[in-house]
Amino acid sequence: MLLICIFFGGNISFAGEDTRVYQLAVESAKDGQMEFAYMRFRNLLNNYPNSRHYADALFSMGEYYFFIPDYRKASEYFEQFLKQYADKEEAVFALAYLYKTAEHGNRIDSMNQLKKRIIDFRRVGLLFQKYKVYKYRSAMNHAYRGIFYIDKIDVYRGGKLFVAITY
Amino acid sequence: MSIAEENSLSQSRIKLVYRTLIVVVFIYAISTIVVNTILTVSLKRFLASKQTILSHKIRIGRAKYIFPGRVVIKDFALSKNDDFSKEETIFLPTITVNISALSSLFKRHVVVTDIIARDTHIAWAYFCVFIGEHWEEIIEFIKSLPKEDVQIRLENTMFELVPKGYGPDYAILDFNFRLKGDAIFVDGVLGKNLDPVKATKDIPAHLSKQPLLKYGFRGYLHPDGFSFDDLMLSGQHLYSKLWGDFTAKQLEVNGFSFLNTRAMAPQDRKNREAPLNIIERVKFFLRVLKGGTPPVDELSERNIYLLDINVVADMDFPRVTLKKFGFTFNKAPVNIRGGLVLSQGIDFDLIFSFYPVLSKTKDSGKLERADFKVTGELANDTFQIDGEMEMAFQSREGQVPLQRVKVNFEDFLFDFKDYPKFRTGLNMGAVSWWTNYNEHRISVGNVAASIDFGKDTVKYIEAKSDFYEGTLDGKVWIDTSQLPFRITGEGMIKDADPNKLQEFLVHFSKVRGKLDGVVAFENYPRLNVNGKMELRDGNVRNFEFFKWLAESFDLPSLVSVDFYQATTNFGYNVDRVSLSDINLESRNVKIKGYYNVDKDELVSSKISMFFSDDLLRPSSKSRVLLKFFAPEVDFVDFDFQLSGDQDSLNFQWLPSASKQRIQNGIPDFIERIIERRVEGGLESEQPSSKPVK
Repeated sequence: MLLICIFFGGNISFAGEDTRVYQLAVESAKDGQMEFAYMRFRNLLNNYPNSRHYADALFSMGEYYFFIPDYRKASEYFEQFLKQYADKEEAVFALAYLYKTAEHGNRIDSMNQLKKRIIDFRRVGLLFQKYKVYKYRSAMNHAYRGIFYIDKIDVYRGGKLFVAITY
Repeated sequence: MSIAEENSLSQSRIKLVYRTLIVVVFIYAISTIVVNTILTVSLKRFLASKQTILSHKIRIGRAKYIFPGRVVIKDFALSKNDDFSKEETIFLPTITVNISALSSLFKRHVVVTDIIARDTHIAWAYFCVFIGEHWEEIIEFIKSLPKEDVQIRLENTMFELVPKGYGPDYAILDFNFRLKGDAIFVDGVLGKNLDPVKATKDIPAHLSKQPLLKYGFRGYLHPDGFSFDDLMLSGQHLYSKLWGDFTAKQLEVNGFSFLNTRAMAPQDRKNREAPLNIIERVKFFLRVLKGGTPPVDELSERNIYLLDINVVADMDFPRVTLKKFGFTFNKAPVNIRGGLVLSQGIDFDLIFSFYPVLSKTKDSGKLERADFKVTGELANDTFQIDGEMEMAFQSREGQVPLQRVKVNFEDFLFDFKDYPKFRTGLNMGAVSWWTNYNEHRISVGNVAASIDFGKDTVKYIEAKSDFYEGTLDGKVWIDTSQLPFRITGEGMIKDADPNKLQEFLVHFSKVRGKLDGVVAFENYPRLNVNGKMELRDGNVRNFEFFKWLAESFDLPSLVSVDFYQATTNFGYNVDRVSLSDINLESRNVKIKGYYNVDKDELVSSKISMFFSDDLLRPSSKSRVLLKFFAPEVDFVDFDFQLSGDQDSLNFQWLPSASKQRIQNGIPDFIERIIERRVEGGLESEQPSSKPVK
């Protein structure tokens, strides 16, 4: 038994261990300890690739790098998030972050492409409503709201307008 | 001395003068008679033996010797045929050969000092054939001449440029050739008959001559061939200096040229005609007295610089192969390769390549490179060509890219007999262009056009063509005072098939019927096309939003909406396509509004749709709406705003009196149920991941 544990030592994860790491990360973020939160999310990504919290951890890493700011690293994490979780509603907020990083780098062509991806994110049909709302609270404790009108999309982060797309 | 002696002396002197005169007259008479007799006999013998020059037949009228050193030959003709027809003859009515009698006596052979031919008539086509077939023998003949100075002058030589039946068209040439040892000096003037004349069998006695081109060069014969320098061509719109070598059938030329392609605009002409001060007037008058073209400094309106000209060509007549032909066109490199066959006309197979981006000037704009491939022939003042031109443009961050343009044409005829008016015809032509990696294409066929290339900077073209099973009548104006040219145009379309226009705009794939329209076009400052279309007796099929309505509300007839008439204004530029003031009428559906698609293929649109009772009543889902309206209402209106991707449009039902009436008739929770059902329907259509271009 001991030999088996040693042989597979690096790869054994106990059930709930990823959740524990995740929760510690979330608590750190709530307490404003971003570096600790970052280390714990990184630990989760490296050691628990099949965790149900993987998506949230990936998103949070992107958030962290965006606000350091390290836009290149942030873009890597958000692109990876979109590659694996494009169907999730929070994917639109990952796209918003990528749009902002392109805006910072004045990459007009990238901004145009990302604008189109945001617009194409969800088809909107408004019969009696005037808009549709998508919400998400990240593991880093940031609240996001995406409001889809017929001719514009407003993305809010923490109650402040983060990205505005008109078309 | 006494008076008698003086008288005797003067009488002796008079006798001496008389005797001298008699001797001179005797010598003159004898030499004239003898030489002329010899000439006449020799000529008869020569003509009887049917001599030829390089297998071309010769005819001579008569030859006369004038003492002491002049021979005049009358009516000399060279021809391929026995009948010496005008179209295939070189005819010299008078050739004057001056001989140095003294040199001839000393050297014991005839020494010719100069040969002058006046009013020569040359059929251009025949001349090209003669030179093309025998240029090597001519060069060898020149090299074989004794190394004595001789001058040959052709004055008022007339080249007939078109064969009989088309009406005479002439170029007038003065040509001076001087051979001095191994050196050759050539200069002269080339002019053009600009007076209109009717076709006639006789050559007009006087033709107005306006010098178009002065030319001259200095050359040297050597055993392997011929070299030349200082080859100068100077005209009102051209100044060129070339130098080169011709050795072992290979021609190498270097040099430069300046061109002025801009005719003076009316304002420029007015400025030019403004009164000069007295000093300028004197200078101008002195230049005119010297004659000919203004000096090169006066080519002040030059707008084209051809520099670093370098040509290497194999001259294996009649074929000329361009191994290398490069130059810079206003600092942009140009390269030409291919071949020519020079016969009565010119056959060619050439590729032109142009790289303006390498000029690195601000004027180079976005054009990266252009390639033009053309095959065809030039004969009888007509070009007939097939060709293909492709242009690639630089993409710049943040700018809407016009990426590529391609032009194809087959059987393009360009007739410039009536210059400056041209006639053209085209069997098939197509223009394709790519923006945002999407191809757009316009094709035309059976085009007939006339072009007025007059003195003004704005050239005018009128054209008619087949156009997608209908016709297109168009007018185009090309402003050549700037580069690139500014082009504007307008056209009228009749009975075209709109569905076939889908190669121009993909949206036409959904439309069938007959299309009439008017269209206006300009390329500067940006490409812009706009106009008005009228469609009749057709249908709109598979329009995405109508398909969704048809499926969601059980209205199958919306999949293909037939109409009597539909009109719309339209606009196209690289930023967007727009349809405005849309008005479609059919028995059960009416549509009004606008529909725009931007460069990212995103839609912005507002559409008002009117559905008839007959359309709504059969549908189980839709007939319920009718109960909200009075029975006498024929049409129920719905206002929609559309946006987003064309293939999955977002939509919003806009407020209106009809919507308010429906909302007043249903409770809020029913509204939410309907909303959720629509949402569910849209989400079920959502692909798992959207492709990104």
